[in-house]
Amino acid sequence: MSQDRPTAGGRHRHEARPPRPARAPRPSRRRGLALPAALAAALCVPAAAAVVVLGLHDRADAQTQTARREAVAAARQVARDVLSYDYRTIDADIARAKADSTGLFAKQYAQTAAQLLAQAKQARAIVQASPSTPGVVSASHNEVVVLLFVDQASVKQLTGQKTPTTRIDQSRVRMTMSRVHGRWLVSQLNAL
Amino acid sequence: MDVVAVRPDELDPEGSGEAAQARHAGRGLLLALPFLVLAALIALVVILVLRTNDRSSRDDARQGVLQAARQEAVNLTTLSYTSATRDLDRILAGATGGLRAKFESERAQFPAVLAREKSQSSGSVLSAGLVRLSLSAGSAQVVLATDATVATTAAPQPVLKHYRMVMTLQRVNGHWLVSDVAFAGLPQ
Repeated sequence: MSQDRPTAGGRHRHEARPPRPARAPRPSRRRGLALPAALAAALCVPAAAAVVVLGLHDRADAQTQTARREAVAAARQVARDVLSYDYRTIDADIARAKADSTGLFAKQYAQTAAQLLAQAKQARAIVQASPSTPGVVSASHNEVVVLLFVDQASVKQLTGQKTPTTRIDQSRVRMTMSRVHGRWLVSQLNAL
Repeated sequence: MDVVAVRPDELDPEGSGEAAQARHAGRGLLLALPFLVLAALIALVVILVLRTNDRSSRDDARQGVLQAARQEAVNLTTLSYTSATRDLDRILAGATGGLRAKFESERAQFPAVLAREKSQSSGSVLSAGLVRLSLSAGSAQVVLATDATVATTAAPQPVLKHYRMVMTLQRVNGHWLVSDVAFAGLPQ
């Protein structure tokens, strides 16, 4: 009778042993898998831990990568903003430079802003900075140090002079860019 | 379900045979689940390890490129008429492509040029930044701020010169070598 069963439980059936009273063949096969399954379940714990550790590391690396890209783009614009000014729009220029700054550089800039304002107006100065493509000196997810070359073309007409004087200053500028509320601002700026 | 076909030993004390089958299927799934989850986790670990390796070889390349560029910048600015050939060889060791060809072609005259002016120059790199890096192309670009004190017979008192260098590097047999140096503007 048992041979007729359409739901016969696989190869264990061919063993043609006398039917045992206690257990059906299927549960016994499943029970054979129970130990490996438990082992697999146990191995899931260290595997999951590895995924978490590696995943966090991966995310940190990805953030640093993003930081490089964003900070480099921001540095060029910030250098242009901070190192350019026009005596006719000097108030707005200084405000813009201040908005691009944070930390130590913001303090330094604020201290010299009044002097810059006076000098720019007196000399009728127009200074246009052209920064080169920055190179990344070092990077973390919220701070990137860049090196860039800046040409500052200036036109000044000092009191008493009949004609304005023009000159180009070539400099090497190292900037520390810091991320503040999602924006990249300059926190240190040094001419080397 | 044919009740007659069910052996007594398979009778489910909790209910019908259908329920038992469902229960078996459920157990099967339960037993398979750890394997599936483990396989997925291992796949994730493999992907993440590959990505980490990728990143670390990129980090190594960044360090290697900056190191090679700095060294070559020092080589290019550290020259003396007393050691011209050795200085030139050092430049050549860090150079490839156009830069190498240029210095190789000047090899014969180089010591004489330095000797004529009694040129002595000593350079150092203040800062170096990586502009771009392509591991697949094996190329990179670096900007460097380099200073050198230069003394010649015309100016025996050493003069400090400020250079703005843009270097192009190529990876040759696993080493980063400089193939081009451009000076962004005249030395100040």
